[in-house]
Amino acid sequence: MTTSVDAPARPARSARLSPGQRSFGLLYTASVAGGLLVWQLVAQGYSSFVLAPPLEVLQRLWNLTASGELPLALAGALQHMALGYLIACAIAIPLGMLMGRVRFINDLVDPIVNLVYAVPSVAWVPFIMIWCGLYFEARVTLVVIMCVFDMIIVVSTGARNADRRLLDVGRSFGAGAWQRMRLVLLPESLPFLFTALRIGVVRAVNAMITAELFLAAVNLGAIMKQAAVRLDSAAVLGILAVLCLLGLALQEVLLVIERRICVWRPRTKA
Amino acid sequence: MRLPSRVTNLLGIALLLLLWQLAGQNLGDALLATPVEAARALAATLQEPDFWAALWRMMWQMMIGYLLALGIGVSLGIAMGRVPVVNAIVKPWASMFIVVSAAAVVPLFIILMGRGLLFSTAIVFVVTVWYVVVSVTEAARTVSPKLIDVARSFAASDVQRFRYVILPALHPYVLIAARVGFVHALRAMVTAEMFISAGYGGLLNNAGLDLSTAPLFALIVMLMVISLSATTLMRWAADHAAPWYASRTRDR
Amino acid sequence: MTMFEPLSRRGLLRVGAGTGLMIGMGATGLITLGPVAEAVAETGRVLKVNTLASAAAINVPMQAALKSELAKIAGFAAPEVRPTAKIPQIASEVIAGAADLGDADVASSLAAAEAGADIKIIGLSYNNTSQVVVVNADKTKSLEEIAQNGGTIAVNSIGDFMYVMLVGALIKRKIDPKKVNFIEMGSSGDRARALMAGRVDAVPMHIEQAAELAGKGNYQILVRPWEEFGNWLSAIVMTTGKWLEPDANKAAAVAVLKAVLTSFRKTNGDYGWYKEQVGLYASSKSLKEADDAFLKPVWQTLTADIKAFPADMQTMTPDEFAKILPVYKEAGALKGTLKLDAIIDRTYVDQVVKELG
Repeated sequence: MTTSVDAPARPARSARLSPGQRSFGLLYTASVAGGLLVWQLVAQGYSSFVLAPPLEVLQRLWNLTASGELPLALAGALQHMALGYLIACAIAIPLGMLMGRVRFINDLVDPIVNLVYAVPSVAWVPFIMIWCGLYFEARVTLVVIMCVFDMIIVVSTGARNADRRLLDVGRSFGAGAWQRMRLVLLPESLPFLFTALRIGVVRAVNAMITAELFLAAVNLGAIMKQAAVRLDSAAVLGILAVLCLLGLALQEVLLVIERRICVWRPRTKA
Repeated sequence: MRLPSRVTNLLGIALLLLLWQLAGQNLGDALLATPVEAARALAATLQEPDFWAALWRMMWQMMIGYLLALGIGVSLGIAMGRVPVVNAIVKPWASMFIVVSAAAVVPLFIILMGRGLLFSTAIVFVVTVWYVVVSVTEAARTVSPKLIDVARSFAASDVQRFRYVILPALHPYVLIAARVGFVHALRAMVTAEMFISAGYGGLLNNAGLDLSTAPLFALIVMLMVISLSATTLMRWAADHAAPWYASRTRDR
Repeated sequence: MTMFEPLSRRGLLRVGAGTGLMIGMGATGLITLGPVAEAVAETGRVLKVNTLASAAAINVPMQAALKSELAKIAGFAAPEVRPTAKIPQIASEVIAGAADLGDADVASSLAAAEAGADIKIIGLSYNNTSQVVVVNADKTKSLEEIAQNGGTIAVNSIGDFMYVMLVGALIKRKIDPKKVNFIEMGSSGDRARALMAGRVDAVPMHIEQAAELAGKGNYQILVRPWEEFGNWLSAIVMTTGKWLEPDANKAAAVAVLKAVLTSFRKTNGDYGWYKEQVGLYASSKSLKEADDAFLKPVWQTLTADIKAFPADMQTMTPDEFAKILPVYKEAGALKGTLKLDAIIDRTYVDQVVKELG
């Protein structure tokens, strides 16, 4: 957000990890391993109908992958997630920026956003079913609804809090509105835009499975439901684990992209 | 000519109501009750004692999970933002669990924790805490180094730096996290209640059985009102508690 | 915004913290008071029974049995009735030990039994479903038409007893079930709305809901399961074999079934009593407030045509269940490897019949 005058421009990170970073990678993996251990211990107290242990889940996932069921389901589910996410970005980012900079639009749209945001998505499901049917369009709509409000709030808050002094400096240097927008506002906004993208991706993965559980059950939702009826908790937990990993991966990817683009952001000292 | 904020707010809401009314008239009350019908149903619902009991039950149970999530989430978020070791340990879990849909884990939680207070608190906590943690971590990580440098140049100890520089700097972000967390907590609570058909979620389920959507909308509108009131209250508290922040960004 | 002195801002924060603390203490107080109050109010065993969240007209006798009749039996208090929105969850919570008994459906219970769960079916929640398949007669006239146009039928869950019934009905008419699109829609209200919006072609719903819908347009009943199959077993009282081992639980099973049978007999004989129970326990507001002109024909259909409440639960035998198994196999909901004799246990019902006469 603000640049530190005294910190020299840092070169792009070299490919080799410094010893400090290597130990963090170790901690990361150790943490995950620790969590899996806790899961294993807890699962021993319950029958596998209820809570399957990690190894069983892994085996079940392996079976599902080998039979092709899981990759196909995932590919199908990713379609409506990706489309919904893109549409949500296309709505949320322009609208959020406008809301942040133009007070009239903010006052007009903000109450609506806050009102609709309050309602749990499952309450919208009956209405989505009526207006958009039950299949692909409906799933995309649910993904859009679940993503767009969180993203609008982040973008508009960020845009509103953009430091006025920077814009004033731009203006005092004779920059026109468009130049100010391109050279001051956009770079200033990039960090919170990326935050919005990350929040959006999180909501999109959540919406992806919610859509398949509450609308016509297909792909991953179908596997989860059939597994639940047959008390196959390994499959249910397996799919949840896949979703968690997907969410993690997408967030990390966005984080890496952000670091590459926003090179001027000061790195926090350890 | 600048309209005062309140008027524009109301204008926006009025527009929404108008669109709703037009759509509702076209589709009939079984598919989309109009605002007028919903208002009538709301008046009827507000008179039922069941409604108030369900609302109270939902709110107080939700608050426990929410306050817990806020307390633990803010502390964890600050720790993660300032102490890289904590960040490395907690971050994978935060990134993974934030993705989990309440609807997908409620059945498992019911079996593990029953249907009582522990269950509702757990669901609200698990869904809300990660949003709080992520927001606060972002904020804690980006506290302007200049502020910290100034404090250091005045020979402030670590604790003093934390208390007098970092904590106040985080203040507005904590309130944003509180608002976002509140909405997610409310939604998680209602979703959980819909699964066990108790409290407010139970009312929603039963209203869904009716052919007319008016009672359903009445309940949804109440949820909106609660959430809006709570977030407005929090925003007001934020503005009054941290006026230096507001003055930096308000266009005056 | 005027300038605030530092004190008032900190004061505000202190007030906020204080309020939070008070809310926390108040909540803790409520938690402790709640269960304590409940425990003091009841004497007698409180069973945990899972049922479906929405009670239609056919579910009312079972609900009445649990909520009013069971408490009249010595040694038992009103059970903790746990409404469950998703049908398969009822059985899975009982299997996991989270509940004592379940008013569950045949399909998920048998599927769980096939998966190896230790299930025992000890009674009927009602005999023969009251759900019928309704279409918009302006648009669709028959199941053949739906299949020809690749139409859509919405059911509660794929693999549940209505889904299997429909697949069975299609197969009986020599229609390939794969030509029909089956989709899941959780609530009967949503299904009715989807039908009205033209999003689906046919929808199963309870007869009283069909009667209500008939007033809104040309909605007609296409399939009546009791005419297709004679006896389409749907909802049963189930528990686990392990739970039935202690004598105290055996007695509890007998008590519950006694309450259910009493409720069945009262429903069959006394319309007034049934109407009263509907007012108390039905989920739909319109059903609760229904007048005799609406409710009496429903009651007639349930007791006389569908024979939903057999006075001795005489239809709960392995043979009756064996009749529906082939349909389940054809629909792919079961593999057909079950030993019904081991699962269906009439001993408790028989004892109740002996006691009640």
